[in-house]
Formats: sequence, structure tokens, C-alpha cells
Amino acid sequence: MIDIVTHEIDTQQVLASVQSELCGASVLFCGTTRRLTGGKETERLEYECYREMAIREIEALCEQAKSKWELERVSVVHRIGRVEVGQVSIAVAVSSPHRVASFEAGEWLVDRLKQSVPIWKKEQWTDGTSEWIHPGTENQPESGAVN
Amino acid sequence: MFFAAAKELVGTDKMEMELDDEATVGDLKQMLVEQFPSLMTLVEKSTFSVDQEYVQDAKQLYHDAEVGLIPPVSGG
Repeated sequence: MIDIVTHEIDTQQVLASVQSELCGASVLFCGTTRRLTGGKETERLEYECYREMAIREIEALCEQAKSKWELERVSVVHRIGRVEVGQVSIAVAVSSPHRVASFEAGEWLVDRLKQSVPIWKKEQWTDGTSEWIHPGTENQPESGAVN
Repeated sequence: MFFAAAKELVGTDKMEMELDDEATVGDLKQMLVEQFPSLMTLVEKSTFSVDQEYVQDAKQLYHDAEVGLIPPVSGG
């Protein structure tokens, strides 16, 4: 299952989509909107994407993960639009016969998704200001340092 | 096509641009910065896509190519 949605992500459905009798392990990662970043308070995040390209990039990363580890199934669902504090913006699920492959591949996938898939978040701070997050530009740290 | 901060700086999510035959992504980049000087710092950190695939500056464009200006991404 690979999708980009504008509604709440059903994380149990994402997990169920990778489960199989051939697997002894399935791992679900949920990325959620965090209240505090660098001492500033987040009201909500707003995501946008380059949809066709984002889907292609996610598919390519899932294929790479399958070639690097012995995986059975991989699912990635990203939400765009408004995502309130505490809500899930991304769910990544991986299954494999043995657990090490699922843990490693799940972490690798989330790291890579954050580096190359054309999706962007805008911080809406509680003080009324907002900013697009483009890691490595102006006063923003490189990718991976904070998010 | 423009996204995120680039879309806000330019004021639109897409526009058509006329380029010389054999123009490259690098030529387009230069033209964009001349037309929208406020894009300069963001463009330096961005990559481009042609038909939904990441490309280098030397990539040659063709008529009706769909070009994306991809600022550093922040999904997840």
C-alpha cells in the first residue's frame, strides 16, 4: 500500500496491510506532529506535495528496501494538508520473516523518505507566525537534525 | 512547477516559460533567478525535476517538458 491522503491515516489498516503468515515480524512507524520544536510551540503543520513525483519516489525507495533486506511487504502512507498536534502525518509498515530486517528497513525507509520525497511541511506556530521548512536554508538546520 | 516557499515567492504554482532550443535546466535556473531575484537563495539549495525525476543542471529540456523546482524537502 502506497498512498498520499488528505484525511486521517488509519494506522491499524496500514499495519494490517503488511501482515502475512510468512512473516514473524511486522513493524509500524508513525510520525506525528510534535508540540515543541527548539523551544517554539507548534499550532499545527500543513503539508503539500508534488503528488505524481512523490508517489514515484516512495515506490522507488520501497523497491530499494526490498532489494536490501529480506522483506515480505512494505506500506507507506503520507498525509498532506492540515495535521494537528498529536495526529499522524506518516505511517510506514514493514514485514519480514525475521525481526531484524523489519526494524532496519523501517528506519532506513523513514530516513530516506525525509531526504528525497517531494513533500514539504509548513510550521504554523502558536504565536501566529508560520514558515515553510526547507532544511539547510537560511536559519534552518540540515535534514535529520531536528525532524 | 513551484512548491512550498518557492510557490509563495513566485505567487503561482505553475507557469509556462519560453526557452531557446537546446536550453538546459541550468539555463532555466538562470532565467528564473533573473525574473524572480527573491528566489535566488532558495534556488541555490534546490534541485530540479523533469517529468517527475530528479535531474542535473546539464539536463537538456524539450518542448512541453514538465519542470519542477524542488526546494529541500521536509516530509515525514
